[in-house]
Amino acid sequence: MSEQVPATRRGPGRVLIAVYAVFAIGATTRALYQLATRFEEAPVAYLLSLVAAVVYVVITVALVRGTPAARRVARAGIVVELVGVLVVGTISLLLPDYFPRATVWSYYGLGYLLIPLVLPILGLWFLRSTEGH
Amino acid sequence: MTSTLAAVFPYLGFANALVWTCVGLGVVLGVLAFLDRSTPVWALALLLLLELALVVLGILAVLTWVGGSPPAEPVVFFFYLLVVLLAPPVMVWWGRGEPGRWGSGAVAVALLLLAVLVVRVEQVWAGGIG
Repeated sequence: MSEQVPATRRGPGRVLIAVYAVFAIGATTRALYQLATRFEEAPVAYLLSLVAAVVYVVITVALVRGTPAARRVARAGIVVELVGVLVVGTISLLLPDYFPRATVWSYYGLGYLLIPLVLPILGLWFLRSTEGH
Repeated sequence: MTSTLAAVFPYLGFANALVWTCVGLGVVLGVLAFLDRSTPVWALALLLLLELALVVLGILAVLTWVGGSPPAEPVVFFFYLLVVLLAPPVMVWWGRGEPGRWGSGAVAVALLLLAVLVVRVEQVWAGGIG
């Protein structure tokens, strides 16, 4: 029953949660600070940083919980993350003026070793492979 | 060019040594994960030493701060330092909770991210956060 550790917290899930937790903490701290101190410099980029931060927090919490409902939340969050990194990455390349300040998803997360691009793909694959466990 | 405000992190050599320690230990644990080994006790001892070194680094930085040379981004610096100091204990707890490759793998990945975070601590001190 409840003492059963959910699949999202076992095996590769350990690594996935570790990475998502760091991104959640890092992105949230940075976004809140940027919004509080220099919002007017690049409102779109900084609001987007906050959106990204919230998405990372939601995914981290959902993966830690690991119930069937939480898995659906995690999957939805990861899809938003993947769409976000693809759309923002493409816009930052084609229309750089839209994002005068970097976000975590600019250039497909190149400033973060492309982890923002690879992470959602691994996350979706992981959720799929642990389905029904 | 650096402005007068953007002072270099005062203990850059020490901090960089810790960055490379994180990278080295992370790579070793990555190899152990590949071999399907749990996090060995000697790695836990090294993580404890790493934590102590990070605490010393934090104390030295804060002493420089209160001594009249504050970081360029005090609030961000404080939070980065906090995360860096909390990371090793959480890493050990998280990695020990899982036997075999995924436990040591989680610690390996976290150590590589910790290396990046320590570099960010240096950068935030000097200013120039995006």
